[in-house]
Amino acid sequence: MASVPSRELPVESDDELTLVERARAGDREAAGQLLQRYELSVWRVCRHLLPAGEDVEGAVQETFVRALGKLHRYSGSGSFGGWLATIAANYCRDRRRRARLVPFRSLEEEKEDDVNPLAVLPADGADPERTAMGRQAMARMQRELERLPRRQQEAFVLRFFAGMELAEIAAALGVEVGSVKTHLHRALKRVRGQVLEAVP
Amino acid sequence: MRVEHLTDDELDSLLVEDQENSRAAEHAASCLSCRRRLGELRRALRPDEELDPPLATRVRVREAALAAWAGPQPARRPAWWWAVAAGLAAALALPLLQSGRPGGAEVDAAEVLSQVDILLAGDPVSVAFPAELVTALAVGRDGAETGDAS
Repeated sequence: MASVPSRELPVESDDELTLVERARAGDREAAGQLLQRYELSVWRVCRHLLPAGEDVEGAVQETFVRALGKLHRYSGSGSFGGWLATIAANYCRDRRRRARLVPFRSLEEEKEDDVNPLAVLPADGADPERTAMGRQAMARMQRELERLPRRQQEAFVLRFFAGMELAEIAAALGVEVGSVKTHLHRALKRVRGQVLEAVP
Repeated sequence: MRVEHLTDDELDSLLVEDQENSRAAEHAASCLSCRRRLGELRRALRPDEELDPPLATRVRVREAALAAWAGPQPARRPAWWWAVAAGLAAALALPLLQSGRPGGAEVDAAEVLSQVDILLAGDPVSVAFPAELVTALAVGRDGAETGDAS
């Protein structure tokens, strides 16, 4: 990884570092709390970065297991959430690489890609038509995301769906912060149309 | 007076870098049109919470991961240690295997096994070659080759 000045990375709170220390010592409750804090980011990273048709739930669980097994390697210089999201992104990258080697997709999975707007009706009160159109636009945005070069796609997801800082993304991707900005600008240009259509 | 609104690139920069004090940010703060465009982009780029898994699923996955976690890992032996241990075990086991061959040297299996036990005491690799297994293999091979069925 490219060296990223640690001062650019958000420093974790004492509370969080205490949890990490307790988890390292085998405290299951502390480990559970750490996972719980950032689990939604991990779910979102896996949802957006896994190849279509892959098991998101399995990917999240594998990310957690890997993270817990590597707790001794967490330095504490960046946020724990960013570290966790990076493990998720690495796992997804590995799955995408394997999927490219064996590019099989069942007909069932192909069908699932054709989003049926009626199948995702809003829960309460929202305008069903607008929500359905938003969902369709989101699906288009996801397809556009999948077509982006790998680093643009990962930078985009880590920034906007996992809420990571630029310096954390730079560390995760092994590039400089300036490169992350470039990736994000290029990605935004490509998905801008779909992004705006997705606004409910 | 002509108002110059933010370009798409400037809006993107605000999204990418959170430039609170930049000229673009100042303009967005005072221009309704640009603020609205920026707000739309920010809303669209928020994670779709409706796609997030229900709490029960999240708890189940988290608990499964914690259950699979064995707690803190003991200090690992360096990789070279395993290679040396495996080589040593193989070197010690080789005479045993050769002893069954025609013309092979006569070896006291019990003596060799006791040496193996001493050298590999506490070595996890030795689990793969328990004394009973090696003895059974050696004796079985001898029996088969000499046709000793009595």
